[in-house]
Amino acid sequence: MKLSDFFQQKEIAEQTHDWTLVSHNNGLALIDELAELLADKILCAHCDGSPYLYEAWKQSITVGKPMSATEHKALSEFFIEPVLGLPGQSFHSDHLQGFIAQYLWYFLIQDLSTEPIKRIEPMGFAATDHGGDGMVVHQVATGHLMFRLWEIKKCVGETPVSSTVNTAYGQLNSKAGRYLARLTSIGQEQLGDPELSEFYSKLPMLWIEAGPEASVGVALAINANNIPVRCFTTFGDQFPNFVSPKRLKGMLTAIEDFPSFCEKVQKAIWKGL
Amino acid sequence: MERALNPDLIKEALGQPSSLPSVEELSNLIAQAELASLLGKSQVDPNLIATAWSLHAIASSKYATHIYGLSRQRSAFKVAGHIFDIAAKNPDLSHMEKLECCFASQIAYLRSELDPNAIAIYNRELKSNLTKVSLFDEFTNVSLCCGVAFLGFDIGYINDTTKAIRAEISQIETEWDISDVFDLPCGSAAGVALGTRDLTTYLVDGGKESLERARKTLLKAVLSESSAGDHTSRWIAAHLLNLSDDLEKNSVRSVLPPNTNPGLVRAFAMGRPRVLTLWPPQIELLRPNQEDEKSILSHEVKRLFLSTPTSSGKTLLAQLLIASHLSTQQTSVYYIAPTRSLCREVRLSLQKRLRFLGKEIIDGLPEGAWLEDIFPQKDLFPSEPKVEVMTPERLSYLLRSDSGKVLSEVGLFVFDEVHNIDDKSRGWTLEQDLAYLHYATKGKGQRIALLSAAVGNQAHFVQWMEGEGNNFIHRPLDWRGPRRILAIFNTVADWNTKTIERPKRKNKDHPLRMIYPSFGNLTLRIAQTGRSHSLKTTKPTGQLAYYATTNGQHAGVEKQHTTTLGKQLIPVINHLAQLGPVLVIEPSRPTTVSMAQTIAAEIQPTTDLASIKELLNLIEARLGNQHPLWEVVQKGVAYHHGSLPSEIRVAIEDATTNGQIKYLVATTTMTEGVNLPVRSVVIAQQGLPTTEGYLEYITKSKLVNAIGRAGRATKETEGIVVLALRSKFSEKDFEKLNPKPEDLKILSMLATEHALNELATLEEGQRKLEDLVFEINEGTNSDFLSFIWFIAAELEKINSEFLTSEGISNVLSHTLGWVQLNDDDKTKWLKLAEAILNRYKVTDESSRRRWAASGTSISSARKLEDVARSLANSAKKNAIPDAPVDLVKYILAEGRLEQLLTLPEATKQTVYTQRTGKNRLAVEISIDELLNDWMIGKELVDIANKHLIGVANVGYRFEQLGDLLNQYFEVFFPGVLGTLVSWANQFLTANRIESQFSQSVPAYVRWGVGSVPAVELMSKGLASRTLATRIANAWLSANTEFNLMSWLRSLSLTEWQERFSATAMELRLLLEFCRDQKNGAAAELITNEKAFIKAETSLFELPLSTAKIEQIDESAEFSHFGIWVDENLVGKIGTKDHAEMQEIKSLGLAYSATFSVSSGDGFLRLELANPEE
Repeated sequence: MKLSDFFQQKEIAEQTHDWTLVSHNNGLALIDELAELLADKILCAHCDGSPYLYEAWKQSITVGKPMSATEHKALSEFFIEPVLGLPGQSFHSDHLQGFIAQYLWYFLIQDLSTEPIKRIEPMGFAATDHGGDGMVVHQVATGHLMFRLWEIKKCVGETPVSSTVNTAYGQLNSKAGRYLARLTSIGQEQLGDPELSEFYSKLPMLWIEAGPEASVGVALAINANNIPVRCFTTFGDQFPNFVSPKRLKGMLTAIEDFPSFCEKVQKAIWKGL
Repeated sequence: MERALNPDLIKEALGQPSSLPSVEELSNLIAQAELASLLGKSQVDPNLIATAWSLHAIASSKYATHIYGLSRQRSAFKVAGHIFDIAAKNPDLSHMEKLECCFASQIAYLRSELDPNAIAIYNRELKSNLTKVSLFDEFTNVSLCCGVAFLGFDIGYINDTTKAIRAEISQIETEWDISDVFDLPCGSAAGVALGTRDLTTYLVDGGKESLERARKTLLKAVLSESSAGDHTSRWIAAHLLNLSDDLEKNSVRSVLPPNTNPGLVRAFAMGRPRVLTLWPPQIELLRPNQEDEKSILSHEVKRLFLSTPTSSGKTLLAQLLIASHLSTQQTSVYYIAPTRSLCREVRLSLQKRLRFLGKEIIDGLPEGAWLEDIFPQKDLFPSEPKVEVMTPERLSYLLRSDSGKVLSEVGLFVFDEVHNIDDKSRGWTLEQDLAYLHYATKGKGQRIALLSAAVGNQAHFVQWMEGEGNNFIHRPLDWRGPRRILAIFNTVADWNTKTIERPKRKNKDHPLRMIYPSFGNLTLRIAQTGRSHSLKTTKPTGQLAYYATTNGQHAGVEKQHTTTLGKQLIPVINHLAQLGPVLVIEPSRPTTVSMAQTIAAEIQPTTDLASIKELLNLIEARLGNQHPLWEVVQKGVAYHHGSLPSEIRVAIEDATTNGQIKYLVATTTMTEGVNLPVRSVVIAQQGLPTTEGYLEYITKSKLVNAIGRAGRATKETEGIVVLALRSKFSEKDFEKLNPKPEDLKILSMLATEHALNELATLEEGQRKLEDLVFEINEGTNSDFLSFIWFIAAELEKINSEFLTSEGISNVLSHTLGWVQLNDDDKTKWLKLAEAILNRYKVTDESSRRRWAASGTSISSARKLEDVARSLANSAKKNAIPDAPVDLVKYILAEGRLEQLLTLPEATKQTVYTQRTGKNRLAVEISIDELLNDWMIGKELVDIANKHLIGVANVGYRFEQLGDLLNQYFEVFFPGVLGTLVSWANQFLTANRIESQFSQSVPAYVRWGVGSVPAVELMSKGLASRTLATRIANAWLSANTEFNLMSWLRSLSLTEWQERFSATAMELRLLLEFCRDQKNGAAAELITNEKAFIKAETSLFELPLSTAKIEQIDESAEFSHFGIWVDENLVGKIGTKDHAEMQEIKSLGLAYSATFSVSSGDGFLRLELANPEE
């Protein structure tokens, strides 16, 4: 099942940018099922290099088969504790929400993207690591590659969405260089795909010169009762060189009670331990 | 003068207009950050950091080089490296942020050919701050710490940390049942750690398999899917992977020719300081790009001229040149340096390398004696290829004494600081040495290398050295690691705030005194913008006082109530001292002392007394606690000038290098003589008022050398130079700090106006030049005459038919002067040369040859010959005494001392009761008594109190004593006594008299010791004549069958302290003296991977057991290393091997130790650990 099956999608076109509202649809499925699906996907992605640990976790959830002591230790200490904490331990809710917001975006963008994705950068471990939390390379219709650098945030409590959006703009502007410096160095080593390697080499130039292959995205996870009528209104002012609505993309993911949803995901993952 | 960031570089880095700041904006941002950093403020504009990251990204793009261009990428790295370097100083950064900034900067510097800065940042920001890291904690920390430590070449940290990480990986595999750490999120971090270990192993031990493994591991770390979210570790891995190609190309073993002796490679890769990779200019010289160019190490290159700025790695190149020569050739090396201090420094740094090649190095031998004259016993200095470091004067003596011997034994002559050819008093000696060697070795095997950082007319030197079949390389290199910030200091008065006083002593015309507050003003030239920025002190730094009339008209400055410029400089000096050691340059000895006193009076003690206790003890022992130096050192301030005893100067240099002295005030004697780099150099005044008006001394090469001390390569990335001026600031003042090539023109004595005038005066006289030859005894004509006489003797030695004007002219064409003179002037010199030659030809054959060897004027040589005859006659009548003190007395008896003192070459120093003033009187000094006290090893303080007690000011008393000792006993007497003794011996032999004078006489006088064992100690670098005397006396009274070295080695450290009352500094010297001068356990361990040490033990038998070696008392510096087996102390390492063990420990070598005892003899076996394990 795709994560997007739980959501309704609405595309809004503005003069300078486009944005998508993705709202959880209670009518389609229960929030608990969404949390469980997301938990499963997160663990599967997170254990990409050690699929047997994901399998062990899955077996524990589905058929109640207990994990071996070493599997349990490895999974909990290396994979789960650093990003979600462990049962009985205190874990910073900001970090938890940031982490879930990023993964929500990560799976939804793959489901919803209208342009084929050539590569999506795996999620970082640290939700507090600013300056571009996600990057997607698309293969556009002409066959060329383009990339979109995403800043992903969560907005809960009293904070107005516009304020969080502005923070995201600022961070993209000031920290994109650092993020791209990393991605350039890392991405160009993907020697199996020379086209992609060369494209990663060009990222910094495309970004600073706002080349047609570069675009920007800002994604927010919010509470459903906080959906604004208009959003990302100053996107064009903040990134004046990225001229074209296609190149400035917003995304709001609304869930009724996002903080409690995050805890549900956390518990769903813990359940397998 | 040097390259730094400049608008053009920034423009290239930024490329086409984009969302990045403009050149102007970025230049200003960098300048502001630079200024803020200098003021100790932390702010760095986020926009600047953002730009640095973008530039870093551009520079890192390896598949987009066709878009950016290599040059732009290098510029982008250079600018980014600089910005991250400044940003890393921000104290508000978190530990991880600092690590990230440092790594980004290190990579950027390495990729933009500023390699030393990568090490400097690590040393400055991180070396002592890196904590233990673990894969079980924040694993990104593992990759960051290993990344920065590797780029800082902190081998010890890498070895220890990666050993722990490997243990963790093995724990993960066993306890977690995970087969590959790369399956975990921490995989990339672990990969970085493993990669740095393999890269380190490759650089230290060689072995391509380590390099290939490092590359595979790092690539795996970049691509690890399980660690995909660890962007930081993957980024570090990617950079290290890309850097591995450069590391391979630039590693010492790759740069040196393939047939290089492996011991040579290890001498650099594992010696101290480690040299794992070479810097860009060094690589250029060692591995030329063009096929037809040769490496400077090639023996086909017979002439080499390296004109490189300070801090560009010239010393290392010279070391490579020498070590390479010794490892491939069967001839010795002479290294010629202008001062004894520099000779010592060269010896110490070279010794660390040559030890691995089993080669010996000596320095400080007196003029007037060959090594084998001083030590006829072969076992002390076996006759095998070695290095001797010497002054031009000693080389001159050796050439004149036996040029054939020099040319047959020596294959490489290295002339350091060759710009000293320009020196008025000593330049000609250097030039004639060089000219003779250049002539005598043309087309032969010997090689000559010239080194200098301050030759403006390099074309003259090129013309001088090239041609005649001598394969010649000249490399002008405009490269140095640390950049420089130039600043001008002056003062500005606040004319709006004045105080009016009525002085008690009335002045009819100017009854008022008007006082204005005065502020310090520092104007910095920021290279990025080319513009200057002024910083004014917030509070007044002094006051400006004027005489004034009743209506307030100024009538001249009133000096008594005006704060001196030096005092107003103190806040700046104090601020700079917080950033690192400051060297304040003064033009004279009195101003040096008074500046040090001013600083000491104004500052709070910044150094705890404990750290300078050793220095204070030494000063008290040698100069007494009334000496002004003792007083200022208590505040962490020291001064350094030519009249201080060399032992004290050395101790001050060491204390400054070790960070115990933060403020050092010195004359240019120090900057000319010692390579003592500091963070900041303040030129407090360039000159002094004299009777002929204000005279600037610190100019030309003196200024270049002083400025060159600012910024220590691998210690910091920038140096600060401040020039204090009395005048109002002008932008033109900065030109003073950038001498133009024409300011640094090095002129041969022959081409100076002064010499040409003297020559003209001689020619204008009525008498025939030939008749004047024996009368010319001073000045440039005398120097020329002496050289021509020597050449004539040399030509005659080859074949008397060569004794022609053409022959002389041919030799003269090998002088620098011949490149610089016009044909008319050459003809004039040749005319004088011809007259000298004619006189030579008609002089008695044995006398004329003898005189040529004297090194004095011919007129003095004739007198010396008479004195030698008188000495030989005495020996016919009276037996020659054995005891050195008696022997010297004997030589100088019967009026011979007085005869020697009348020679024009003799020092004419008058000692005065006070420095200036109407009441100053001359103090009579008895040179023979002074010499006696000097040779019996009397403490300087006692000598000063006995002979110069009439000089009330203690500092001035010692200053004059220092000059007396230096000029008479260290320079004049050794040379002249050597000649005298040698000639007297010739006369005795001619008269068939068997007794001979010892040729060691110059050594006794030079070192101020009165016994053979004391000379042995001094010749091996002990440096302290009083300690040498104490040890020699103790050994003589012990009446032991052991020779001196064996006896010393048989004593414990405690016995050394008790018997010789040795200070900590002296003990260190003694430990160096007692270790094997060639090879030794540390070198054995490194070159053969195992070493044996005979250890002391109280056991009779012990089977081979695993052992641990630690100092018995870890809190004491001078505690023996103990050998522990199963927690039991079973033996100790003796004094012979103590320094070896210290070196093994300090190099961070991983080794295993086993110990066994057989019939009471303990054997410690050390084995180098396998880096793969």
